[in-house]
Amino acid sequence: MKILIIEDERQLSDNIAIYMMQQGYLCERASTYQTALNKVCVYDYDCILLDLTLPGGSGLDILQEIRRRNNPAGVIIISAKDSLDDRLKGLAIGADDYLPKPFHLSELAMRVYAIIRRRSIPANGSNTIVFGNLSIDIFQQSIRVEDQTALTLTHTEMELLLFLISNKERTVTRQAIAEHLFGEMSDVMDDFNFLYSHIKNLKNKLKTVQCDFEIQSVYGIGYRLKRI
Amino acid sequence: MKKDYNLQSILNFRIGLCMFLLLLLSIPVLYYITRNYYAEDIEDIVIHYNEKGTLPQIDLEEDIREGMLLQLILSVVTLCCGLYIVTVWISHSFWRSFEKTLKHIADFRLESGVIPPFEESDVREFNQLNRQVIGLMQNNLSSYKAQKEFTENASHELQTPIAVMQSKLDLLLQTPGLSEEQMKLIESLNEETHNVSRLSRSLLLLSKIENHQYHQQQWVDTSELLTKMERKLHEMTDKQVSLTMTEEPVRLLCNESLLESLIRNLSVNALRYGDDIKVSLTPQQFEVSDRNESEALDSTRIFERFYRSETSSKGHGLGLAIAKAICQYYQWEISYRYEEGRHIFRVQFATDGMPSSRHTQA
Repeated sequence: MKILIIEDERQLSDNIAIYMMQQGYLCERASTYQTALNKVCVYDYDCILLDLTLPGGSGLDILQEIRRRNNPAGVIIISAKDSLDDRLKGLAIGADDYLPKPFHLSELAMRVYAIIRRRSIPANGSNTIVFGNLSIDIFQQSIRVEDQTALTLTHTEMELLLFLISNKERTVTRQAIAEHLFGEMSDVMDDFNFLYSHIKNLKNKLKTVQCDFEIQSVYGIGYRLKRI
Repeated sequence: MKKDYNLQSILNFRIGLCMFLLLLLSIPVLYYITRNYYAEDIEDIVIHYNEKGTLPQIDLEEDIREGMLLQLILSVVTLCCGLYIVTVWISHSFWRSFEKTLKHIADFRLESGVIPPFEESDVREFNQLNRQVIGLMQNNLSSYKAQKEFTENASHELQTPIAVMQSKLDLLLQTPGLSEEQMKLIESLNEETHNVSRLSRSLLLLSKIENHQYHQQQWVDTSELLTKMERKLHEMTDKQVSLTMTEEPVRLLCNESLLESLIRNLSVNALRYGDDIKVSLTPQQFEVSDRNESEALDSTRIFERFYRSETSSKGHGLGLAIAKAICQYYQWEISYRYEEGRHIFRVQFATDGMPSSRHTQA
């Protein structure tokens, strides 16, 4: 899976690249408008992370070029400009997602995972993810191992599981999880106790189906999906 | 306060007083002049003829006095009338442009960003005044704009360094073999980074609302929005949250993300500080209340930026300021009151923002 990171802030693109490479993606970087445009025209990528303000031009123009060439790459706009106009414009031109800065790398990994997954949905429309010995039915919100009967998850548990899967073997903070599940609503809570019940339930359900991954708690600051 | 009068009556009064005093003082002088120069010869003639006894008895002195008095009174009356007419006329024509200027200054609002149209006057001084006022307004507007842009740019520019910081922390967290203590340090850094990012995002939102950058508006199904939010609240808390709505869906013409922000800030505020949260929505108003036996909040200050009551801990003190800014933007009325142990926040929608009632009538 190949990702192109178009971002002029070198440090940020480095960090993104390191994190994504740890996740098993191949990463390339472009930090100016021109190099980005060249790469987009020459190579194929599964996913492109696109900053809008670039030296030499606007990211929206690159997006337009990508879509004009019928390039099927998934595009996620990462921008410090969290303006509604840009968001709508970007999505109208054909971006698949919009992630305002600053973000957690785990959140970015989740979005990339979701886009690549969506692009690989087979034509018959079945939407099943295979992860370890687990098959996850996104539509039915259920999980099962091999021939067992399926176990239904709640909406939140499903979201949580996908988030952990897209960051498998990584430590994700409770903050990142809370933000992913509840957005800005999570800001109010003085602690993350409200996450515990969801995590506990999901943990138990994974155990019940005898999944070969388990949710480990990391010193009470985060969680990690780890192969047993 | 010292009592003040308008310019015209002061002028009338002072001129009248001066005239009166001058006339009073001039009576002896006039008498003397008339007697010694103007009537001198006549007097001689009268005396001369009187000696010969051919003329009737005439008291010239008294005649002079009466004539003068009559003349004086007449001239005083004429002058006063003239003065009055002149000053009334002046105030009606010349002062009119001054009053317009005054009204423009009184109506001037920095937030609107518009300099009112000043009319050209016949009086040079008033034109000078207008020019100075326009200059002053322009200066004010440009520094106000610069200040607003600064807030926006500053919070904007903060996003990238925060993003770098956040990504480094996320990477640091993945380092194998971290001790619990190191993890806790990273976690607290993480939390602070999150707070800074939240703060700058809120400031950005505030300045964007004030810079009128939310033109995009549509009919938002507020009932649906509220239902979704209530579901999330239930998943997040064990506190009792109850939602009452009118059966007919409430739709508002506004920007969806602003409305969401308003509702979220108010509900989250209630959730943070109280129990037994009640949320209600009707086509006319939105109300959030929570039970908390603490004292009533200072209703004049709670909507100020960075105002925090002593009990509040986690908030950055911008939530209610944002709620207020959003309400002002749509000319909705937000209010706070404390009743029977409940803190109640109410948003009264403007009547023209009510499509559903208009819709049903149509």
